[in-house]
Formats: sequence, C-alpha cells, structure tokens
Amino acid sequence: MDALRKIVLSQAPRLLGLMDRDRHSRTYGCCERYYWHYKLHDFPNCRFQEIGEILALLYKNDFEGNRYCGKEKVRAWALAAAEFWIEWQRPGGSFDEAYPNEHSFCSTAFSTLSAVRTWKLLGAKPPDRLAKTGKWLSKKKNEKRNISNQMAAAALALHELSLLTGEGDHKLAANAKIDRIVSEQHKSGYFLEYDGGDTGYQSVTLSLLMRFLELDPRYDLKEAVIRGFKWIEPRIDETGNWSAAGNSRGARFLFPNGFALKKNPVLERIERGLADNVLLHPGWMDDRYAIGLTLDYLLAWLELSGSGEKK
Amino acid sequence: MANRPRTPMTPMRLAAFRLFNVTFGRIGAFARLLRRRLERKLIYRGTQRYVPSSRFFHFDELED
Repeated sequence: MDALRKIVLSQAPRLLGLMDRDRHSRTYGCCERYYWHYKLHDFPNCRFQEIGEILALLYKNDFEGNRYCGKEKVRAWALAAAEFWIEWQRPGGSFDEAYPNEHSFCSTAFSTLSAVRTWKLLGAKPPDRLAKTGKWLSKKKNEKRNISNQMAAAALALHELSLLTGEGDHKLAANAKIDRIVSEQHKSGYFLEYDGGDTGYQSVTLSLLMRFLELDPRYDLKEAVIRGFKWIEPRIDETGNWSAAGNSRGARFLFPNGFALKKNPVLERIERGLADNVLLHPGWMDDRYAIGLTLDYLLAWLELSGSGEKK
Repeated sequence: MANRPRTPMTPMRLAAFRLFNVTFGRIGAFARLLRRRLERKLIYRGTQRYVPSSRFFHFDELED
C-alpha cells in the first residue's frame, strides 16, 4: 500500500499552504486560507484545523520520504493549529463550520478529536477550556438525526479526551454514544446515515469505531463492527468503487483505515483503484474534504507499515 | 514573511460589503470606485502588498 504513503506526502505541502505559518501574524495557526489570506470568508471553518493532527503524525513518525519528521517547525505549526482552534470555541463549548453561531455537532466532534490527538501526540498540555467542549459533546445527543459517523467521531473524541484529561465522565458519555450507534445499527450491518446506509460513510464510521476498539475493546462493538464489514465488503468492486444507487448520502470517498486496522481484503481493491487512478483520493478533492481523507490515509499507512507511533 | 495578513474579514464587515455590492455596487461608477479603493488599500498603499498567490508552502521553511 505504498500508494497511501505517496498520496499523503503529495498532499502535505498543499495542506501546509492552507495554513498561516507566520508566527507574528494575528491568525497564526489558522488553516483556512480563504479566511486568513484571501479574506473571502468572515470566520474560519474549524474543520480545517484538523491539519494539526496530520502535522503531529508527520512530526512523530519517521518513514521513507517524510521530510517533516522531527522538524521543530512542524511541531510548532501542529500546536498552533490546535491553539487557533480553541480560540474559536463558542461560549458553550461548540464550534462552527458553515456560519457563525452554528454550534455544529459534526464539526465539534471531528475537530475536537483532531485537536485532542494533536496535544496528546505532542505531549503538550491542553488548555483548561477544552473541558467545556467535552461537556457540550457529552450532553449533545443529536437525537433528531441518525448520523452514525458523527456520533462515532464524538464518541472517539470524548474517549481520547478522557485519556488526555483523566475526566471519567467523558468516557461514560463516549460509551453512551457507542451504545446508541450499536442499538441503531440495521440488522443487515449498515450504520445509520439519516434513513439508510451509505457505503462511503460506512467506511468513515468503521474507521472511527475500529480506532475506538483499540482504546476500549467492547464485545458488543466488536460484533457490530464485524456486521458492518460484512455489509460493506460485497458492495465494493475490484477498484474500490461502488454503485451510487441505494446509498443514503451518495458519498464517493472510501476511508481505508478501518480496513487497515481489520486487515480486510478491501485494501487490495483500494490499492488497485489507486494504482489505476480510478479511485477518488485526496488529490482529486477540494481542500475541506482532502484533509479528513489524507488523515485517514496517513493512519492507514502507519498501521500497515508498522512504522509509526499513531497513538 | 513578506506578506503578513491584515485585519481578517468579520461577519459585520462582510454583511456591509455585500449590502454595498448588491445596491450601489450594481451601478458601474460605484463598482469602479470600490475596485480602485481596494487596489489602493491592498496593493499600492499598504506596507505589505497583498498577493493572493503568495504564502504557499516551500520546503525551505522547514530549516531554521
């Protein structure tokens, strides 16, 4: 799966170009170029700050072609991304993606996960106000929407947060969210994405749940994940693609890390699709979506190569 | 770095800007006036010229 490594390394300079790397700037650490440089946006999208986790992983892991490993500037930029992120925390603890005062569950979950892991990977002390985000995520149930990938991100973020801060309540809240994901799983194996299953988002959820299992090997979750893989495997063709019909959200990206952690044969199909350049990958995507997929490619590469310290 | 960012956009500033764009800005003379003013402020008068295509990453930056 050397293709994963090559794609990550091809995306890293692009992602760094999205970041304000001038430490004297008032927007130092902001990863939304449309905000800090072009000034076309009136507030920064918090999801861009997930670049910080990619930089932290690149800084920590020595592998072929990784020119960022051990570079103090990369470490400083990763921490700056997390610090800029917390500066934009809303008073209640949430974060915005699409508009000011959105209080987005999805963005708060995913960006918290990355920020927490950035501080953890780099051995840095997180700010006290992070606890407010933990409380907000713990309380928020998003009951009117059944979006499993977002719930899984919230669960993993809360679990990682409990490990970072020693706050036991966050772990309880994380497990409550996992309870809900498992209880709402369809008997055929898909995790709910609105009113049905979605192959692309199933891969996101499986990646997050496999990471959760590494921290807490819950038996019911293991069983749910096995059912989840059984649902997705036959849907994916020999190049990692699938028919768009019958998917609740129409996502066309495939997150590989869940398959990597499971040592699942779908990985060979992903490899074939990437080699033939027929599988959607971060290089084809816009800035917003390239970040999450690049992070997952990096985690998958570190898992498969056994070369890294990803925890 | 050569091009340090200026004041970021804010929701109120963007709202005011858009209000101008869709009212007076529809009239050619006002649109040209705005453009001239922005060019003067961002490119000709500023201490650090705004260059949209600048500040991408280069590997030189990794070295101290």
